Amino acid sequence: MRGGSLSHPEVIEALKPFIVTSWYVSNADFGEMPAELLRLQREAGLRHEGNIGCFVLDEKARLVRGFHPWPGPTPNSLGFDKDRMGRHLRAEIDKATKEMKLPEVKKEERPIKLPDVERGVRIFLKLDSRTASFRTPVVETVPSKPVDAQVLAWPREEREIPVEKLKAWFDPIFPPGVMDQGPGTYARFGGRLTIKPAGPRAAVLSGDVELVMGDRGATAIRGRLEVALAYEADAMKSLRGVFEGNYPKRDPMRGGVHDIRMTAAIESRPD
Amino acid sequence: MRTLLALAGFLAVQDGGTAKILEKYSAARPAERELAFFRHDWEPSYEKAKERAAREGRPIFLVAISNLNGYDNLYTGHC
Repeated sequence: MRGGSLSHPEVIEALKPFIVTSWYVSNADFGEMPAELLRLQREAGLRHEGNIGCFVLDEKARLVRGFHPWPGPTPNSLGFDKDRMGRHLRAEIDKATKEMKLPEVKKEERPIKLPDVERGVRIFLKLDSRTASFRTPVVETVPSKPVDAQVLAWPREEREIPVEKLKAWFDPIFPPGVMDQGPGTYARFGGRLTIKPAGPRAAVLSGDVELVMGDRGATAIRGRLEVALAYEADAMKSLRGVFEGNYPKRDPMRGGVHDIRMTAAIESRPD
Repeated sequence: MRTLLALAGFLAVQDGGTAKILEKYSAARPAERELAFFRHDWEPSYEKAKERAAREGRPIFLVAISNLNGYDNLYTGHC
């Protein structure tokens, strides 16, 4: 839905007057859905077989209309066709807004506004897969902690950085579309990272990394991290980097494992 | 964007491996067309969306994912 119907130009246009939000299952509320959402589902007459519900609410959060984003429980009913899914969602939104008085919006395209953090890193994760939910970029942010400055301090000479020290970066680099995983997926971090000078005010942090999940099979993502860092005096000012790895995805239906290439671009915030 | 290019230029001049890393980073960072989802006026928290809607007199479009077996963050994409 994220890379399909919600990215469709007609849906983006239709939702211009709206504040767009979502409710999802976080690590804190597994197995529970707030009473307010259950009430919205009930008022909208949504069935439970589709696990995604869309709700058009007025400015006082009162239900105008609720619907599933596809004419069936899964996008399969529209052949996973992005254009058909987008046009279907647009038609459902139009049904809801027909009687609404919507605020006026600017004609020009709204600029892209990415998840951001006051001070930290932003991570763009992509998986090279035929499955659309894997291909659509994940964008996560990680706030800096005071200890990060120490870990990434200017290397007068090459030194080792334990992979565990960069746990906060690796935690969000887990594959999307894998339902039993969330933040804190990795039970163990292995590999070897070093940081070394690469010029008067630059350094390179690199090495092979192993991210081991806490699942029964201890699925391990193995890859390489390479980061270029710029310094002002001894303090890290900015960084750009990439993690390239392989996710050995088990096929529960046919058995076996196939590798999916994972790539994460990492950048410091603010620029 | 200008700062990004300035930094990229700065690091490329230093080299010592930084230029190649910046190339890989640029190739890995998604293009604008891949990030169209972020053209919406997102408010990741439903509670904050309600506050903003009341304040700004605007409607809300809520996507609720009720798969109670797993973590599903539509906004970041881990879903």
